[in-house]
Amino acid sequence: MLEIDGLILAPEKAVITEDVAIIADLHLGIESLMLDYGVTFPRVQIREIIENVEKIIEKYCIERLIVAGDLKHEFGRNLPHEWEDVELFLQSFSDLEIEVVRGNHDNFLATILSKYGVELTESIEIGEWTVIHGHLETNAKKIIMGHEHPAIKVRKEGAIYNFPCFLHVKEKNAVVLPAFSPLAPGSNIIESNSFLSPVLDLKIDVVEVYAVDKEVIYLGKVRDVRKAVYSESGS
Amino acid sequence: MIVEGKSHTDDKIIKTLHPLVAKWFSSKYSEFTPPQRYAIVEAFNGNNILISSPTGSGKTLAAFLTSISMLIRKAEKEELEDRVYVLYVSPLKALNNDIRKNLQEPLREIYELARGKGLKLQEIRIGVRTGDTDQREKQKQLRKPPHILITTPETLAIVLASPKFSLKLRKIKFLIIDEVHALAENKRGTHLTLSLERLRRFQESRETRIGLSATIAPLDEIARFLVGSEDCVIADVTFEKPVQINVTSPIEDFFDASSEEISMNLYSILAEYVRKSKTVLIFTNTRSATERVVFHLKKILGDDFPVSAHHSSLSREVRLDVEDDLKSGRLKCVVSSTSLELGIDIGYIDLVVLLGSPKSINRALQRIGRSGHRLTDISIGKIVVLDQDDLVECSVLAKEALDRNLDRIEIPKKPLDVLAQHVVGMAIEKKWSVDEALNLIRSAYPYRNLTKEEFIEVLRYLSGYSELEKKRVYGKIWFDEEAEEFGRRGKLLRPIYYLNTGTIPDEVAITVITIDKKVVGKVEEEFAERLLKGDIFVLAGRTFRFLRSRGTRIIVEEVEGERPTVPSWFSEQLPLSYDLALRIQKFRGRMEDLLKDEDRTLKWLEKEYSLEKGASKAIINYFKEQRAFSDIPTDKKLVIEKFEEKGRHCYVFHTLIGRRANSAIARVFAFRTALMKNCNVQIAVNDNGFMLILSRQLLNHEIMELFRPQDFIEHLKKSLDRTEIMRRRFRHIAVRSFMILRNYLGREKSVFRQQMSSDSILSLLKKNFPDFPVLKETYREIMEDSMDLKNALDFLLKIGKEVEVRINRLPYPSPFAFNIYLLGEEDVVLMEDRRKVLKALHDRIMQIISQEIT
Repeated sequence: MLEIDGLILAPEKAVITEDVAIIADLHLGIESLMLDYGVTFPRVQIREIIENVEKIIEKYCIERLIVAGDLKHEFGRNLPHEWEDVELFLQSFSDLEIEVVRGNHDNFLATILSKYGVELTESIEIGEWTVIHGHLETNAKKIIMGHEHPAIKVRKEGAIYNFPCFLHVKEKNAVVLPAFSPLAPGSNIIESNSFLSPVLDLKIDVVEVYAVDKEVIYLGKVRDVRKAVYSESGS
Repeated sequence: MIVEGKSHTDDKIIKTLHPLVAKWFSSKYSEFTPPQRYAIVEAFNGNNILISSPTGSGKTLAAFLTSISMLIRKAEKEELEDRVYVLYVSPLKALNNDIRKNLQEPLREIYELARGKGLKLQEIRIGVRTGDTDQREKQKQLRKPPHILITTPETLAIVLASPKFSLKLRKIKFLIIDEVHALAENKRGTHLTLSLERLRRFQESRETRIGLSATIAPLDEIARFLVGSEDCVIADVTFEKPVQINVTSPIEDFFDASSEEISMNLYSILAEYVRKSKTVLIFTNTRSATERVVFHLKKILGDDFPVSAHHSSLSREVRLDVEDDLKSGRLKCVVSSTSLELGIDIGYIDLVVLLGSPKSINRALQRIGRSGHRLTDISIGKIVVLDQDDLVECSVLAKEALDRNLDRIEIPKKPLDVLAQHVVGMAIEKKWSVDEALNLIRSAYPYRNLTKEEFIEVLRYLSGYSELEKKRVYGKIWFDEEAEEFGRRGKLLRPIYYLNTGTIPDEVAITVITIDKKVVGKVEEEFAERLLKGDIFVLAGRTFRFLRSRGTRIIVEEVEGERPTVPSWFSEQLPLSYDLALRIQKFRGRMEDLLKDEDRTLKWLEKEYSLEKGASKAIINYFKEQRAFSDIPTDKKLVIEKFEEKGRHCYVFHTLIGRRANSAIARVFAFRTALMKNCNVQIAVNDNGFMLILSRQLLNHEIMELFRPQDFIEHLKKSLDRTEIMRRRFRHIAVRSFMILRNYLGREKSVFRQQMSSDSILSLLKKNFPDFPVLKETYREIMEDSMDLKNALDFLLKIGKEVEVRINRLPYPSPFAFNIYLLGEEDVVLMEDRRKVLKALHDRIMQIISQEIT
């Protein structure tokens, strides 16, 4: 099991420390937003997410679940399915201690959370670590965050493979989580020039990549991953 | 019942027509043409009729004479009401105004005749209504409906749901469907069949359908496509027009000549044809080839013989100019891809040249039929071949065309996306019971076998799976499963239907430009999206490296001789029909038998296939080389060749069953090989066969195991996982099923793809909604329409029975394998698990790091 500083990087796209699991970027209700763009398909994400969280709870004997921001998808208002999805999510894990850090998508979330006795906070301390979403500046010394949806795209023999990733930014003591949402496409770290988050700098000699599949595999610094991927593509 | 029609006497037809129309006809023409003799009397008797005859045989006039005659009779008795009596549907929007002119002219002359006789007739109005018709004209048509309405399939579907205008369509007398051959094979036609049944539902009395088609087979099935469950008379006058076809090869031995030499010869042959004829029409198979031919002919012929291009990427103005120049005889030569195949009147053409195989006998006859426009004129066609396989194919094709052995077309089977559109349209009209709707839908021929379960699944999908959705915000319709009823939901449904109806996917094209700002061509948006920096791909025969994308453009640099990293499966090429492929197999068999005696073979080719000596020699050389090097694959013998290249193992299967059927077999074989060897397998497919490329070796008995027909469909589906074709077709079908709306509140279309991972959506849908109609239709369309599952299975079942298999190990590709080999890998069937990909990447990184340290 790969670890950074005592944190387990779980292939279920969660960080585990003792009986605490931290996940980020669930984007519940993303299907509802698509409706605004004229795209309709049945709700598929919530079932998948509940199933995946249940697996984590069982496998790592989790008592406490922290969502590092963007529990739901839409910024501006609450869409009908978002309410249902968020409630379904909270109901499914009512015997668990759930805490939610506010993400940039989490407006209007406080009311619904309070109904279930869940608090919406700006950050949460776990031992020496601070869990934030990552869209705002912070003074924290050791950070667990989401927001970036890191991933890598690899081409092999004409096919494209997408892998969600954990990132480790040593100079900031930061661990970045992959998006927990199965629908959100990752943002390809190999082709980005900068992070969205003001907390981090995308220094390719510093940022380290851990790719997620059935297990987590340490790949190396962004610079080296880039080189390897481009040389695979034949250039 | 479908019955064959008979020819009626001119006398009887004259008596059938209104005297004024008969008089007008006699003043213009000396006699009726065969289609007119078959059709007019039948249509008057209220019998549905399908006319199959070549262009220029007067079938449009047959339909119009009948219609005009009926209308004049009403006009004379002052019985014309404000409603549509004749509905004319043509897939060619651009032609609709010409059609109107062709009607207005005779009408004007008939009215003059009437005035001469002192007869007073009510005015007969003609209207055109398409997607381009403006609001004012539509208002006008509502106030004063045209008695003859000329429209497109898409616009018809829209007016059916229009509450006011549809009231004007309740007493249709004649329903004319033009260019049936261009509709029957595709979803546009399927879509139309449902519109016709919806139209029929509110007719006060039964309308008579008249279908007009070029050369097509099988006619009884096409007739059913036209009339659904009703009776129909078939007027088959396809073969009245005499045809002459010759095949010419630019060179005697294709392997002996350089490509420059071949194309030089080719262009001088074409130039010679132009010099010797009055007007020449040259058909190529792609737009890029059209441009190339025009460029070279202009260079050779100079200003004395003006040459122009005509294809669908050119602007309307340019095309109209070319058509005018053609009609007036100013142009000596026009080069076209498909745009001049259909109806447009192009004046006098004395020679049609086909550059490369048209891939289907019907298309060959259709194209060649453009010369010698009148029915009695002989049509003269020359086929100039491009390479050795093309030569063999065209020789067989020409003979089959002369013998009139047409290809049988396939009508798509109950596409669920088209059905979903119509269910929305129907729900707008009224509230339905499931059985009533199902009855209507089943009376359309493509849906005759639709099961109630399948239909209910579509209703569930459109209603947003309401049992699972408490708030039902996703539903376009409401569906009460208990009461078995459905109807429309929400005010937005009507505009959604109006704006999104239709079956043609709209692709956003991305322009490809080089660093020095030269435009290379266009690729589809999805293709561009999947490119990674450094990827190498082929476009228009050249190889490029992808550097970056900028909005609707991508920047590339040309890299000669590099191996593409992205499969170039986007092919403009038309696929060879299965029927023709089987005939080429037989030809190969005959050739193998005859080859012992070269003189006899030469004579046979010249006699049976009317080949010129050069062309015959080229074929004989080609077969001799193949026999010496490997084996000649035939209809009784499947040859498989294996060779190694740079550590990769290549397996060529000379199946010769057309690209569509080959694709299905190639994918399943690749999937099975991948499973067996636990590695990715690349494939290359063309009409004559396919090649598997992999890093491991396949033993002969392992090759034989690939042929088992069990689990074929299951394996074909699995082989489509995470492929481009799956993603792309899924999106097209999602658009056609109204799952993704093309036009919705002015929102951006690409948002969907930016915000969602299509692979995840597909896998989540497969897991949670295995009967999701959009998914089901994606598989059906790929397997049945894009590929040819039926004939792939048909072929597999012959293996080991009437077809023996021979496996040859070769040092390099055989002559018959050259064209497949040259394709390179076109697609890949994935097996390697994702973990292996990561491990390999990891190893590569370690290697890079260690290199840098040392």
